Amino acid sequence: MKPSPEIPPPVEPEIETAHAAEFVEELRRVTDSLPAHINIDAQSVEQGLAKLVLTLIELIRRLLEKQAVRRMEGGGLTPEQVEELGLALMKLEAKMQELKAQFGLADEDLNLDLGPVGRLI
Amino acid sequence: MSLYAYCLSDEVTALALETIRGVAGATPILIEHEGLAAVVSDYENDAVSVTRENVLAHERVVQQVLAQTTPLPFRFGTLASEARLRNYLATQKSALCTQLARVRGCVEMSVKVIRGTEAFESESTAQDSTTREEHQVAADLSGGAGTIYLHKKRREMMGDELLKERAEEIAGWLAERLASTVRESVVSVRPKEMLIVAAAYLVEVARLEEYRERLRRARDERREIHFLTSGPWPPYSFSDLSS
Amino acid sequence: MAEEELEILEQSELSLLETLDHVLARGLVIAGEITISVADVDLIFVGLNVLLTSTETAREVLGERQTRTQGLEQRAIDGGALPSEGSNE
Repeated sequence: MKPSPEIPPPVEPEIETAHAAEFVEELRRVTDSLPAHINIDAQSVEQGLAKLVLTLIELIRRLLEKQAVRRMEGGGLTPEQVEELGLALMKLEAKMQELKAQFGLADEDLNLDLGPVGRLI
Repeated sequence: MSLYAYCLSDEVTALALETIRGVAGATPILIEHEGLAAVVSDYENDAVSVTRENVLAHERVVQQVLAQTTPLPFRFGTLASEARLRNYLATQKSALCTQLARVRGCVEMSVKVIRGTEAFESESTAQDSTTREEHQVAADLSGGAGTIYLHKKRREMMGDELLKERAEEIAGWLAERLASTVRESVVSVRPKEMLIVAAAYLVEVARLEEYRERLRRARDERREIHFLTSGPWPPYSFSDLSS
Repeated sequence: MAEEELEILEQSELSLLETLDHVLARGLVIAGEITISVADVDLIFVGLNVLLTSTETAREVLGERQTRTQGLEQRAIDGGALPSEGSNE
């Protein structure tokens, strides 16, 4: 589009849905997790750190679970190994819940935007 | 004194901006460097609050530019000194020009699909409980809590697979229906969330009517899908310099 | 409140939320990808990148993907199998 001498008026974006209430609820939840104060140069570091570390741990935990299930399905584990693995993962999940509670974080809070790494959870 | 940055273009003129009030009521002006111009306005504080007023002011300015030419919008809340901005224009010139060429003559249109609440409820209750079957399997294998846990995870993962397939199918179908009217797209599929598909489409202004018509038909074709469509927007989703 | 008024309020909130979703999560960023700018936290960020085999793997675990297309040609940004049994993950 080449700039024209008479500037056309801006077009307001239209928003159309038959399910406004549902979308409002979900979009509210999504935007609530974004910062209320944008200061590009100096984010609150401690807050960022806890979330960062927990997100990492959570991701590894889920990777491990997926891996464990695959191995169980593959038939390469003895019943005792399955039991041990399951117990260990169960404890890990419980620990994770504890940690999140300690920092006052819910699952949604771990959706940290890390730029190119993107949304991890 | 800081500058609030709205957007960037190689074709914008200062004309229309003079009549608009931007963030904090300031008048937008241009900062130019070798053919590239950043649309900015004076800003006093260190941070920008996410308020309705500020967000609408930001959008108002960028939409005004969009009426004239397709700019690359800055993220809301972007503050910089004039020096930093000029440096940015100078060092990123080539990437910015490439990006501007990609979005030239286009607008961004958005389509979101939300999971229907009844479907969600039945799916999620299935996740939480351990089935009797799983207890039986564990007993057969003389396993205990750990074995049950793993079997439960396995069932959850299988359920996740189904959710994923469904979300993927919708995304694929939509892409097919819109096909040639879309120059580029960024589609996110998040099967475990409520917003299972979020798509941003780069559509040429000249093809906008056709896009809208196809979208209309697609919605009619599958009324069980819960859509939210919006646009036209400035190309926020297509302003990633690293892609 | 009358149903009509409720609808108008809802539409207005929806409009703002949709706008927020566009202007807050996307767009040009001058500071670059790293928004946490303290040195030791940067290190963790770099470590995060190195520790994960790839962002694609991370996404695959969660069943998520993001695809960018140019014209009719799909360039998927996913793929990458999970680490196999023998590896050091």
